[in-house]
Amino acid sequence: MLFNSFEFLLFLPIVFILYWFVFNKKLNWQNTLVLVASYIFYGWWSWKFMGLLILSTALDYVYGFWVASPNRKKAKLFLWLSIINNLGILAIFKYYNFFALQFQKGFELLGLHTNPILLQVALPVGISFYTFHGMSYVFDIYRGNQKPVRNFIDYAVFVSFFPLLVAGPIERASHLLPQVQRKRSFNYSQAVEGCRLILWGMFKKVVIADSLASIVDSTFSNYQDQNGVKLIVGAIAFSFQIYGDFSGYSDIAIGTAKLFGFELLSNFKFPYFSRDIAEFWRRWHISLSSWFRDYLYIPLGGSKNGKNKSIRNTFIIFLVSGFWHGASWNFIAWGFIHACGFLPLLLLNRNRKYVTDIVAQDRKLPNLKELWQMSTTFAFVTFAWVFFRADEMQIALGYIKQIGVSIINHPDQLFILPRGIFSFIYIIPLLVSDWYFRGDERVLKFSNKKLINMLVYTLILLTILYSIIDNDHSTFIYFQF
Amino acid sequence: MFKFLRKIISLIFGLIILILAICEIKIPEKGIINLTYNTSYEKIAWDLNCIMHNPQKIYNSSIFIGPSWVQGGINDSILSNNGYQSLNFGVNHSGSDLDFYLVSRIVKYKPKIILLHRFPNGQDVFHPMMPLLMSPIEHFSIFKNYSIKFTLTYYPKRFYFVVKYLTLKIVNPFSLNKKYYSKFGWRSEGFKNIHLDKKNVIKILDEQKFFNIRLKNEYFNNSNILTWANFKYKYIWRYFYSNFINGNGENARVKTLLFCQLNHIKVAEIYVPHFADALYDSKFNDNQYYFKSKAIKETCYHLKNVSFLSEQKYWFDLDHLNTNGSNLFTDSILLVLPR
Repeated sequence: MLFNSFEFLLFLPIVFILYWFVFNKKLNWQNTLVLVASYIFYGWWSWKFMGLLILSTALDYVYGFWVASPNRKKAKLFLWLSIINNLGILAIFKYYNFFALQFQKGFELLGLHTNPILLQVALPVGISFYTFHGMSYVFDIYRGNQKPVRNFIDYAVFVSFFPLLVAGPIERASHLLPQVQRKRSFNYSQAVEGCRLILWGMFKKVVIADSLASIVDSTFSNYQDQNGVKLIVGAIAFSFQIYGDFSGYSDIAIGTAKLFGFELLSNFKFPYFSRDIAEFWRRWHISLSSWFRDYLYIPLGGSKNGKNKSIRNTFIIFLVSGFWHGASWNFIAWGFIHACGFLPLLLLNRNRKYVTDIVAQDRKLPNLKELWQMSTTFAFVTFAWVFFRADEMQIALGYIKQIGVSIINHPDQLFILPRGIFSFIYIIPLLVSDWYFRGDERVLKFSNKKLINMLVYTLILLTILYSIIDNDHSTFIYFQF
Repeated sequence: MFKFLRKIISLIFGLIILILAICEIKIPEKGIINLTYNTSYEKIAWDLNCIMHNPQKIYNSSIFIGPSWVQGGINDSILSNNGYQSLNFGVNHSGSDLDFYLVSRIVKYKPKIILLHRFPNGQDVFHPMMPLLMSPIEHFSIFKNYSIKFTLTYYPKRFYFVVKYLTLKIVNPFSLNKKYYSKFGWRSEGFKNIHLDKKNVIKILDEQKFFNIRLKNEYFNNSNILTWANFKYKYIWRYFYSNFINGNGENARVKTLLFCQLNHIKVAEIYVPHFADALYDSKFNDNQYYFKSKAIKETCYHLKNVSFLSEQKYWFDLDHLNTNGSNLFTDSILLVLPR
């Protein structure tokens, strides 16, 4: 079920009413309702993969008890079994075909012809997200940060909670499970905040991302025939499309969870106002980058064991992050580019320069230095996005090459604006509001005057409605991961 | 909790009222012309432009009104060059309410005859662009339509068109002054090679468009209980679907005919053939192969035999004649049309 679909428009109020008015007597009833609703939400897309979700949930639930064993050797063995199990599911459904084809190409280089059997199965939606939920639970138990949960329904709600089931944010057991196990009561201001986030998330997805999708699709599908300006505009459009799409999804997820009394982890904190690439990764897909930091980078030694190991660990984390997004060389290249951008900061010990403060703190506008820093970071990120968006490595390289070739050979075309540039107008309210709220991504209160707020929200609602009719219903980009 | 629900319900209620009010904002003809520019419904712009700026062309002309079959099937320049003064007002997609909209604007300029398109299976529907042309209340008051799906889609579309028009008016008011001066209304498609053998074409069309009519004939000629039950089922479902779900344009068709009669304008129907007609029923007769509404008594002009169009080179797709086919058909129908 898509957040921007008619079905969800009916689904959400029904579950909300049942949750607070019918099943509110006992916590276990509420959790059971959430679980059933989550399975309906997931099954709406494909009931066939429900079994995989339930199997993955059940296995990690059982591993949780085994990993909690006081015998550390036994616990470690089960931890590895759990990792193999979770990564095995991912490997089969997400990476098997990629590796099979790579082996085939490798053998062909040696002059051996092979004919590998490829899986003709669609990638189960959200597989990368719910397996990471399960892994974080087992890791936390192994580290002693979490106790195994006795009630299977509670655990299943943690893994399958419908707002975050298919595209995150990737939750931690130590953060979400206590909320599942605690009696929840309706909080007016939390619910209002949730509605605001849903509204703003819908605006980002439906108005911004979907409007830019046509420019992006036409540019990337036909890049050979485009001039340099169009290609640059296409890449910038994709930067905002993916931001609107994914952060919009996260906002809707966080807002929906708030309606049910849950607080989810933040996933985005105005990443395009970052002053360097290290800050960008503290603001972009936070739940994934912190997951990799806590469960991969730090166990590998982080930056504490000398420069060489720091460099190695940095490359590992970025390459794995790229590979997590998709079984394709262009995603790995995307991770590699980011690693290359991050490395100088690490070597100069400047990777933690912008940890606590925000850009233009206590000021209304950035200074020239900050403006330059933000622009260069955005340009770098946009360059990397080309690899992320391209269907394969050759296309990404061709795209970049075509920009250079076109600008050199046809400088006269630099001033021809591409069709659909009008859609960029929607980016202005996004940038303005992001700048205005950059201190806290969850406030979204435009004014202290009720009337002004009401007018702004009404305008946003009308724009969403207009855009839903104008654009095709498109799925969220991160569903594919 | 109740405070939250009260606020949410008031917000939704307020929003609905606001949207209903926005939907009632009138879009002037200039706006309609502009909004249909460069779309597959550009003919609406041409039609309105002709009515607004060249009404003298309508006087004493034969006006063809109907869907894409008419728009691309009848070449008004050939007819006019042969002394049959005519204008093709056909617009993509079926819709008797659009016919009424055009007729109501044309009659005051005294055309000689209005020729409306005859559907092969009698399924009169509403036109998808009507939300641009009429406000919901206006449409409802004229056509008395009670169908659910139609109403539910009409409002969002109308809202979309009104907002688009208002945005255009604010952002680029000069674009509203565009005019369309092409001489004739005929718009046809070129040749497209359709890789279908005749058997397949017959099979597809038999299952789709001609199903009801053929079934009806079989029902009358054959007392097989299964055929009878199937026909009844189809008939009842179609009645229910048209009247309560999708919208029944048959009343709009009757209204159009009555409107012409009241204004003393001669009105008739015209049948533009499909590929299957050319292949399959080369000698069909009016009564047997049309689904004719009881309320419609007007003459239907058609060719008794269209087997000369049985080659694929005359067709753009299974339903529509291409440029060559259209020219050939126009040459032939010229002999049948009333002088």
